Amino acid sequence: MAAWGLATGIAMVKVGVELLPALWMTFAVYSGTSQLAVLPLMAGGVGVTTLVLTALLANARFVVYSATLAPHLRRLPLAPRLATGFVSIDGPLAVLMARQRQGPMVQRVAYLWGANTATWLTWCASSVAGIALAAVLPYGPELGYLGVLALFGIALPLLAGRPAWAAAAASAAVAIATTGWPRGLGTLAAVIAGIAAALWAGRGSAR
Amino acid sequence: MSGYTTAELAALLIALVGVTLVARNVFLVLPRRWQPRGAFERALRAAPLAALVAITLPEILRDSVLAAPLAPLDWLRDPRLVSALVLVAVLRLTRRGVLALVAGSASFVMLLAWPS
Repeated sequence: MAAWGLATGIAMVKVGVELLPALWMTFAVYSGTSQLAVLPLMAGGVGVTTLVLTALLANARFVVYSATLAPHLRRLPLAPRLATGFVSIDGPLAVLMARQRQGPMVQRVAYLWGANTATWLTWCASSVAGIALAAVLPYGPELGYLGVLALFGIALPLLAGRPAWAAAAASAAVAIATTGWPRGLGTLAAVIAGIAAALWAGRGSAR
Repeated sequence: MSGYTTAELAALLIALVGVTLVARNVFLVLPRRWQPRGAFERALRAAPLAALVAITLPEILRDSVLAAPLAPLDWLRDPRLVSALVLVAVLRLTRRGVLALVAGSASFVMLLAWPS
C-alpha cells in the first residue's frame, strides 16, 4: 500500500495536478485505481464527463465488493455502514474474507475496521510523501509494481478450497484474455467470471 | 493543468468522491431483499480473491508471458515474474507474508538493477 500510495502521489504531481487537488484526491477520493486511470487523461485535457465515466469503470469491482460486504454490515446504522463501505478496499476485504469463519460478526467487523484504518493511514501518508518528494523521486511503473506484489501476497493465502481455486483460475484466464480492454472493464469481467466459477464449484456445499 | 477551469476541476474532484462513495456502497443501502443470499452470497466471498488475481496477474506477466510467449527462457530474466515466484516460494516455505513480501520486493529491486 505504501508503494502504491507513493507511486500515485508522484504520478499526480508529475502530470501537473496542483497541491490542493492532489491532497483532496489522496484523502477524499481514496482510490488509486481511479486516480491512476484518470490522471493520464487529465494530462491530455479530456472532458470531465469522460473522466468521471472512466473512474466509474475503474471502480466497477467495488460494486461487487459492496455485495460481498453487505451481509457483514447489515446490522450497522446507515452512517457507519456507509463509512465502512467507503474505506473498504481490496486488502482489508481480503483480510475479512480470510477470517470468514473465525469469531463472532462484531469481532470480524472490528477486524475489518482495524485493517481499513491501517490501510487508509498508510495510503495517505505515503501518497503525501509522494506529492512532497515528487521533484526528487523518479516515477516509473516499477515503483507501483511493489504494490502489485503486496496485493499478490495478500491473495495467495485466500487460495483454500475448491470455490477459491475455481474463482482464481477463472479470474486469471479472463484477466489475461482481456488485457487489451479499457482499464477496469477487464477486471470487472474477471471478477464476475471468478464469482460464477466459485458458484459452480461450490454447488451442493451447505456452507 | 491542461486548461481546466476552477469550476470544472471542482466538479471533477467532487464527482470522483461521489464515484467512490456510490460504487462502494451500492449494496449497503439496498433493502435486504435485494441483497445476495444463499449460494450466491457464499460465492461472493471469492470476489476479493478474484479481483486481486485479476489486478495482479496481468501486471506480473506483462513483460514475460504476455509480451513474449515464444521465449520461455527469457521469462526467467524478468524481474516481475521472478519476484512473484520468489514471493510464492518464500510464502509456501515459511507461511510468513511479510517475509515473503520482503524477499519478493528485494529480488525485484535487485533484478531491476542487474545489468542486462
